[in-house]
Amino acid sequence: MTFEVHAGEYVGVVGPNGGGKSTLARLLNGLLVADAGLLRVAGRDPAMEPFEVRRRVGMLFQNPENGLVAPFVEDDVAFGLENLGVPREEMRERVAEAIRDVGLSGYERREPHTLSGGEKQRVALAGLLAGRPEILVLDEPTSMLDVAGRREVLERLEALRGEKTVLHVTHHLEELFDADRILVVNDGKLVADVTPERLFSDLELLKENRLALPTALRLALDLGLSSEGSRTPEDLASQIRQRITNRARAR
Amino acid sequence: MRLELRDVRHVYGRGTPFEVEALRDVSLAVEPGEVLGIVGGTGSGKSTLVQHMNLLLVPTSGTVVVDGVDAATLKKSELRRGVGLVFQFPEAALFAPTVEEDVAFAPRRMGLAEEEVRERVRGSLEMLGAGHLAGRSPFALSGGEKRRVAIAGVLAMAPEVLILDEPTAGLDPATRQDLLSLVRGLRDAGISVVLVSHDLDEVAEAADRVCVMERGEVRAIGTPAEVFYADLANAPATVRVGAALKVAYSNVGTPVRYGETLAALRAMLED
Repeated sequence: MTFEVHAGEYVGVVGPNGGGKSTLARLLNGLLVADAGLLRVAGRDPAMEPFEVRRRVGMLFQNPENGLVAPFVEDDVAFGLENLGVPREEMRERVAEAIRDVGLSGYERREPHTLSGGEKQRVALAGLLAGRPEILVLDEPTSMLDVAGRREVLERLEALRGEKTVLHVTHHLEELFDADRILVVNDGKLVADVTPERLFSDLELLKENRLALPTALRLALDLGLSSEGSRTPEDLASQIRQRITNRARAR
Repeated sequence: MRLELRDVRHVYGRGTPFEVEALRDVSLAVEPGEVLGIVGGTGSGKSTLVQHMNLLLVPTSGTVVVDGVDAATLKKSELRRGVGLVFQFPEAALFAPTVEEDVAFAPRRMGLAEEEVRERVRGSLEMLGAGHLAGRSPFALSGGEKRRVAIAGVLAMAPEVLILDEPTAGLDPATRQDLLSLVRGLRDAGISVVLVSHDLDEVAEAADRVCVMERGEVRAIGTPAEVFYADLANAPATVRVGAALKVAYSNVGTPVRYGETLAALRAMLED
């Protein structure tokens, strides 16, 4: 597999179960070591300098339960910083800022186990942000969340666009409408490196890689309508209304 | 089998500072041969609810009734054979060296004749489209395959009600589709299915009725159209399109499944 991701890019990673997405994510911070080839993350080899790389790469996993360790939200967010040896005063600032950035101000003294799935995942994200990583690797961060939780987490990720380099692994293509590029990974290989527009209009590529279009987009294509104006169900509905009005006028 | 919960209440950690009322007077029925979807946010009580259906959790008050009989009076092994529960991430419990042996574990424990065991293993693997995996190690399978084998293990007990708690979490879209067709197939074979999911699109596709849980209570229960059109903030994409059009064009109706929705929209555009 060969590819490059540039600073500040938002890159989606999609493909079937067992295709290699999570393996790829784990190679990037030295949790796994490549058997051959060259891998550089922020200029360093994660297999040789895992700790240096992990300072620069924050990883968010599927299950928010797995990452939470401390009795209170603020301690949890501070946990990584303690390991990095950040001075106390600065730690306080960074923790407060990270908690604010994920929209959880006021939650500092809450106990993580009392939070909803979306809130827990945002605490985990705050823990990453407090370490000020250059790169975020998100491995299906919303797949265990309910509708509201997904929305919350996606809004926060949206806010990071351009600020961080993001690699976002997901099964939900609607999370990648605004990605700069999407990598399609299947059978351990990079099958495609395309823009969202390209991927969403290539039905063959989608099918071969067991991907499904967001429902509104799929309806639009089946109806012969423009995929451009069909990101959300509401967009699609207004496109249909427009059609009907235009036709009535023409008559 | 008709499975009914009557005024079921469940309190975790009773008498401790951590006491939580997870279910409050929940009453509902799983009708024979239906797919009942259960939706609701994290912590709304979905998993607690379904774990009462085979008395894995015992209600703090209220009763579970199976075909008119109080389930508490039935033998536990009998009840759990009739009401099969597949947990979230069931593949974590796979343990045997081959798929075949893993699926055979429960029917063998039930004391069935070896021939019957083999028949059931073959039948349930086939029903889940996993017959070709019989001789493989469960640990060398993909996520979707493992999930199907784990479900087959419960199906081999020949339950009349099958409860699936988040069966598609973490699966790729195509595998998810396959699993949903399986759910419909089980229903067509006469097995009732309780499908717990936070994916509204998938519940819309598979369920005959939907129950919405909120803070330990049943907030709504009814056909997918009744439930989803009444609460658009928690509705699948198809219903959101339908509802947004309904304001101006009532002839769109209340489509829920993908096929219905496509047909309704097509009719409007061609009208």
